[in-house]
Amino acid sequence: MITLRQVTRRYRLDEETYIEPVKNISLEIPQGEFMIIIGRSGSGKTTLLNLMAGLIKPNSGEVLVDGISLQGMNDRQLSLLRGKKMGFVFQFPSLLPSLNVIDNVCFPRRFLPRQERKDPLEDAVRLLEMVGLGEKLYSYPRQLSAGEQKRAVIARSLINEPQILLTDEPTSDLDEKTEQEIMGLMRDIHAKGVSIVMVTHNLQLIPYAGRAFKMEQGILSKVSTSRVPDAEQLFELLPAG
Amino acid sequence: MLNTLKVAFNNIKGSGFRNLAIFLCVMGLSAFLLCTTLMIKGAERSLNVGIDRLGADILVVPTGAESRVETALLMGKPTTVWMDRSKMTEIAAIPGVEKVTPQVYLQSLYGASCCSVSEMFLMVYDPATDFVVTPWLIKTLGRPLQKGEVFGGCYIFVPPGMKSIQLFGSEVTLKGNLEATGTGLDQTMFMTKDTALMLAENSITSAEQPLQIPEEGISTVMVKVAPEADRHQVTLDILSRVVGVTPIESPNLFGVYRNQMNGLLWGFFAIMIVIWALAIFLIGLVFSMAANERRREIAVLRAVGATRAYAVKTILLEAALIAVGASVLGTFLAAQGMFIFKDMLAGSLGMPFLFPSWINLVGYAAGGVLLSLLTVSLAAFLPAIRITGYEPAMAMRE
Repeated sequence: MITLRQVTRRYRLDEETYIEPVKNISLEIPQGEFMIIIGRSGSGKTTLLNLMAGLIKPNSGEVLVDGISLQGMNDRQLSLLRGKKMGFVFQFPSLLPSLNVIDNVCFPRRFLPRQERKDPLEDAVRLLEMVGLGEKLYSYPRQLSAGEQKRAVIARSLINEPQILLTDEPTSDLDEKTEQEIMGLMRDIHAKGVSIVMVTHNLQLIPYAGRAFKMEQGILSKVSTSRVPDAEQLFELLPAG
Repeated sequence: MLNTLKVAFNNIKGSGFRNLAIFLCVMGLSAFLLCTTLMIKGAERSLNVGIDRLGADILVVPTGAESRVETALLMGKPTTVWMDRSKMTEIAAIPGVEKVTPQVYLQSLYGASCCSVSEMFLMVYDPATDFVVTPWLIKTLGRPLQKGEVFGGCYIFVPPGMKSIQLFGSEVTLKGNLEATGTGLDQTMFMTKDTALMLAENSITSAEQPLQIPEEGISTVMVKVAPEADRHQVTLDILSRVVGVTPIESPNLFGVYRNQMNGLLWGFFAIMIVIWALAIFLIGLVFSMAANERRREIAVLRAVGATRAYAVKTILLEAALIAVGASVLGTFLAAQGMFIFKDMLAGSLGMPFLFPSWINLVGYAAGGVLLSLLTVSLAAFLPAIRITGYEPAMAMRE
């Protein structure tokens, strides 16, 4: 379970100016939840996701994973926590370009404690087959399409059987068919008990979630997940300009 | 299981051009370092072996002929210098002198049909008193030289198709060769006084020009100091009591060359330091650029569970692999090149050179590899620390 207590993060732009993409947010994400955070570009949703993963520290407040504060952890403990309990799907292409697909998927296994570090090959093949890349095990990232890369990243994120999957715009830049495939995968992963926190500006994805929030100017507010947003809501939530 | 080494190898391959540039830079530096070290050590070794081979504590030469004698001994450039044999008697009488023996320096004729070798340095010794050449001969040949026999430095050989060497119209038999010294002794032919006199006598009728040896003339006197005596004091005594001669203590032999050589080698050394400093800066710059390009990749690595230490280790491992590969290849090529072109190089620089023993060579090469490793690791360390110091999420932002 991830808990955020009055978390604030600000970035200093110069000596006197700063922005606050996350303002005093408190939130609880229980185990097994599928949660979506929507918002315009620059609304702070990626920063919020990074705070949950300990990839960035809050200026104030506290982030807890399974009741343990991330702020009290050193680099080694934090890295181990991320390696064991969290999976990541980033918005940008994040496969290591020098490794082929199977090695990319196997790679996070080496960061587990030695006694938990069983051979990842079998698991990696199974996961890659699950995401439809069983034929591309030895391809390099540059040989894959954007959708295939995204699916490979999803497989990598699951190699250590995480409790929670943090995904940042997992369907951006993908065609509609690939988007549906990716979301189908997310639903399957969630069905296996993995919590999912997804940030996106695609309102069409809201119905996949159990809970949905809107992020605006650093403030989080709950939105309905009962139906696809109507035109008025879409207009309100679409990126400005 | 995928290991860090494989990841590092793949990363090196993945940034081929940039890493090739670093590889070539380190290879060149390592080669230059080994070449410079070999030149310095080779020259030192050559001088020391040459002095040992002379086997005398003091070399006495006619005043004014010091540099010609040193050049002859060091570079094999023949010379003929003379002083009266009576000088040897005077030197022998000085307290502390245990043994003295004369040597006569001759040279074969230039481009003459009566000499198989042109302008060869000939060193004549007196077997009755000699303590310099005879010990080598006994060790190598097992007996002293007879009349009509000669012994050569390592570069002396019988011309192809002939059974003996012709000097001043007479045939002499080459009985063997000395081990290399890297000095002029390698191009010197040694013979007894009897052989030299025979050549002189026959040359009157058989040579294009007669070989002239003054009856009471000698070129140098080799002095062995008694064990209890002070060599330096004996040198001062010779200088003050015997007119017209200059004694040179063996450690001071080739002093002018040592100074010239030191100047040259320090020059090399200074250039090397400047190039090395520049290389650290440039390699550091390339690593810094590379690290910046890989900022997001490193952040992803940390997001999937790598510690900062692991990320630093990966970058340093890549640097180390490049450094070791490049410096091993660089030192190997440099050693090969030096071995093949050592004579040409020594000749063009005008300095003696003796290739080091294989053990020493391996030691110098290992030192070079280690230094390259340290240099490249140092150059990569700061960018690695800087790039992994960002919070992962901040590093992901372009």
